[in-house]
Amino acid sequence: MRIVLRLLLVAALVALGFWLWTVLFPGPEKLIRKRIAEVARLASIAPGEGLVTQGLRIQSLVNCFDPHAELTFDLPGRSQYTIAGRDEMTEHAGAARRNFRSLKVELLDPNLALSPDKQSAVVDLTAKVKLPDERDFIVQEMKFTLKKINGEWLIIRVETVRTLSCSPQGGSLAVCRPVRAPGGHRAYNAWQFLPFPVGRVPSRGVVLEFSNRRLISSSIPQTD
Amino acid sequence: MKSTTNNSGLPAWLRTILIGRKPKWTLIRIAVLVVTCYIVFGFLVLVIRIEGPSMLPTYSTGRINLVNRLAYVRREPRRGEIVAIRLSGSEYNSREFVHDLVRFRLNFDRLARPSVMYMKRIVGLPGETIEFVGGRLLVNGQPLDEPYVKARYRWEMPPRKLGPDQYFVVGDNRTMAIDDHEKGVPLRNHIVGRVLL
Repeated sequence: MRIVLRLLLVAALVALGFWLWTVLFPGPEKLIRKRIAEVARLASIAPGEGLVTQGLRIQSLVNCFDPHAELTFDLPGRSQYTIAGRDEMTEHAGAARRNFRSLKVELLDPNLALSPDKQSAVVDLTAKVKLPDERDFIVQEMKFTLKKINGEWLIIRVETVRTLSCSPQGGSLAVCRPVRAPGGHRAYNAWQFLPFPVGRVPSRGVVLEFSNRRLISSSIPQTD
Repeated sequence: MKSTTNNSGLPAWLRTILIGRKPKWTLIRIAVLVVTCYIVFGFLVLVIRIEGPSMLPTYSTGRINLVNRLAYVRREPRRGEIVAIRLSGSEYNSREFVHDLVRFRLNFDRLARPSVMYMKRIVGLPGETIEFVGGRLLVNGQPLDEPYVKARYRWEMPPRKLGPDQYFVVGDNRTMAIDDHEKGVPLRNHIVGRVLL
């Protein structure tokens, strides 16, 4: 009996040690999940927030992003728009706080893919936004790209994903739309799942044909 | 009136009700029940609460329903079935699940219960061409009989050919403009299961 108790004690100590290790030295996945949870908490607006609290929360929210981070929203029935850089983010966060008394943001079901070198990660998640005085809530699938910069996981890109827009077989057409690229350059991308490297696509109006989310062909118009 | 008591100070009849005549077996039964409920309601049958007008009049906001996650293990989805579609992440299909199970490398994110799901009706099957003309849904150029649609807005959508593993889903409420209604082709591994009730 004494041996069993000793074994149990050793097992408990090992478990405690392991738990302490994960708390003191969290892995990248844990840090990323913590960052995502922090963004959701800071993006939410509590009713009756004071001006100082608002400012601090906006500052903390913006600090979760890289200075050149880009947020691209492509929502059904609305034209695509992009928020680039911390200044624009601060403006939009301030405007949201002026327009809404309260707002609850939840970032749910994160699905995390870490790069082999563990220096960047892509998180696919579901954003759930509850507006005040509204019975329904807004849900949107989103893709967050994070990068480890100076030992800190910062968000470098946020994109909306159209869950029910799997490309049909036989090809579909998409015309490139301009997006703002880091450093003020203009880049073009077609759909959110097909980001082009800056400078690879020459001009606006390039017609791309897809099949199962793969590019089949592209044609560049004679005149731009 | 007499009532026997035990060491715990509870009357015998109350003790029998609470923990049974054989406490050890009661404990085992409770443990089995808890584990079974956890597996059934955590992984096999999902309990959902419906929100939003997309499936009106078939389903209204606030109604509780169940999703059978094993519905498409042995067969593929059929036309007219109402399915739950997860947004982020992906579901195991039966082949992937068995493949990962035998190699002891299950991805628990794919098993985890999604928090938010779309609820839509399957109207288009793999290989078919779907289009909306004047609010009528055409499958391979033929109008589909949809008794569940009570009122329709004049939706227009050009023909769309579905791939070998693609299903077209749409809600029953067609009274809004086409752009305001979430519909389309989800990835097959985003289909969580069939709505039961």
